[in-house]
Amino acid sequence: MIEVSNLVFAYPGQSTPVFDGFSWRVERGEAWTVIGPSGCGKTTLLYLLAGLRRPDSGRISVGGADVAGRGPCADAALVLQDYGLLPWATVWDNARLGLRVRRPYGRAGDGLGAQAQFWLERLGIAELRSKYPSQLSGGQRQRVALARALAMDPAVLLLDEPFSAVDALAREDLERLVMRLWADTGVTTVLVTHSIEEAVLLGQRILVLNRPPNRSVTIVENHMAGDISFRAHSEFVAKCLELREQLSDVLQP
Amino acid sequence: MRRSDTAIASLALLIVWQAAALLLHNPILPGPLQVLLAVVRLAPGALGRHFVASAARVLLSTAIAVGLATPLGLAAGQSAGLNRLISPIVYVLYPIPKIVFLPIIVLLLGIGDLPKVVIITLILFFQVLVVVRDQAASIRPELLLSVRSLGAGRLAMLRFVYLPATLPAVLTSLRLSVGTAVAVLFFAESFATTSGLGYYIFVETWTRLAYVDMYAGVVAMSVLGLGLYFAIDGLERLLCPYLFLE
Repeated sequence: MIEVSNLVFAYPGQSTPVFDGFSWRVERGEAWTVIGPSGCGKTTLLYLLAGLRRPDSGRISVGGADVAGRGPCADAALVLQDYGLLPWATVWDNARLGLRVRRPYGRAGDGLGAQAQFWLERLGIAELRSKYPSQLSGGQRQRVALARALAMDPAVLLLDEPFSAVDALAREDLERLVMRLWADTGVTTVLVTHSIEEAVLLGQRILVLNRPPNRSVTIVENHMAGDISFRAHSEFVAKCLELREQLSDVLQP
Repeated sequence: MRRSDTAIASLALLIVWQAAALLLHNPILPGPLQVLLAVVRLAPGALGRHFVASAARVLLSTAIAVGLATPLGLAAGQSAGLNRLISPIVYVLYPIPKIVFLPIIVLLLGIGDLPKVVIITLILFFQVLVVVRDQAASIRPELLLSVRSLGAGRLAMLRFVYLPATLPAVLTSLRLSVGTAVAVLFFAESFATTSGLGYYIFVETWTRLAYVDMYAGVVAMSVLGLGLYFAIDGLERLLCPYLFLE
């Protein structure tokens, strides 16, 4: 579903590349989490997959199509930590935005809105459709962002620390929601997080990134992902410890 | 601002005016009722004609200034290179009171509507340019990226992000500068012309010592300024409802 080969990427003006000959593969329907120290390139990786950044060299393909340097990737939908919704648009207009931006001057017909309506209902926020983002809680805002992404019927869902700006209860609620969505739709997900617990809870496979430059790939396999009841399990705690050790190895100078 | 508050403030002003007129008891300060009757009497004739001439000049200048400054401001807000080019020019020209150019503009463009429209456009242009540029540059990168990731091209970014993001700032800059625009218009119309409220107040009534008619002109000019101010307020409520949530 996602194939990254020999990726090289550096921010302009920085001598150390974030990725230097980095290769990585995601199969259809897998749920990945990405974790690493801040500045390791977690978010950059998502932007590269979404087609928002152009690699210096190497190849990235999503759903079989080459995305490198071709502008936003049509098969990937991105949900950011916060500020992703238009403050001046209602929930309904935000949810339809992905459908509308592709034909900015045409009329958004009913057929195009059906997907957005479906997801607003599915995520339990249909009654908020005439509200503006400033009138919503953090959790509700992220549900709108998810509905907007899912209305595009993406092959890959990219989430950049999507729950770090909401309170603990809403966070757990959203984590549960993502697990259910993944189980029901089988959409391939890549979720960036800074929380070890969240990485273990939501990632079938966990990609551990290093301090730049990232050359080799460190993957932690995790068969417990997707079931919130594991949270209290000793195996879950053991997996979190394993991941923490991986991360501290990474952080050794 | 609540409607009732506005009404009470207006009433208080009228009472002060009436009291001053009674105290002074002199033809140079007629009372509000007398002036109001004059407005009603003159509105279908000369006063109305000059009001329309002035209003048309302000509206045309506003449209031109917004039409020119918005695209340039949006472009400068998005492109660091263009901003580096125009910023020093704006920095030097912005604080200069544009009205000092009026004699030159009149010399170059003669009498008639053009020099008035040019001077007001010049004043509004810089106000709008600066706020649109700053607003476009301050849009959160997360917002831009998330909309771009949906597949938005340049046109869609403009239509769904840049224009709505800068609209409140454009309206605020207009609200702040519309008073200046009307004041400059008044001055610009007070010579080298035969139409407009400035001409009516200074040439047709003041020099003839027609005090009541002159006050009618002053009221008309105030109505013009207030009307524009209220119109911008109304536009903001209509176009930016998200700013007025409970």
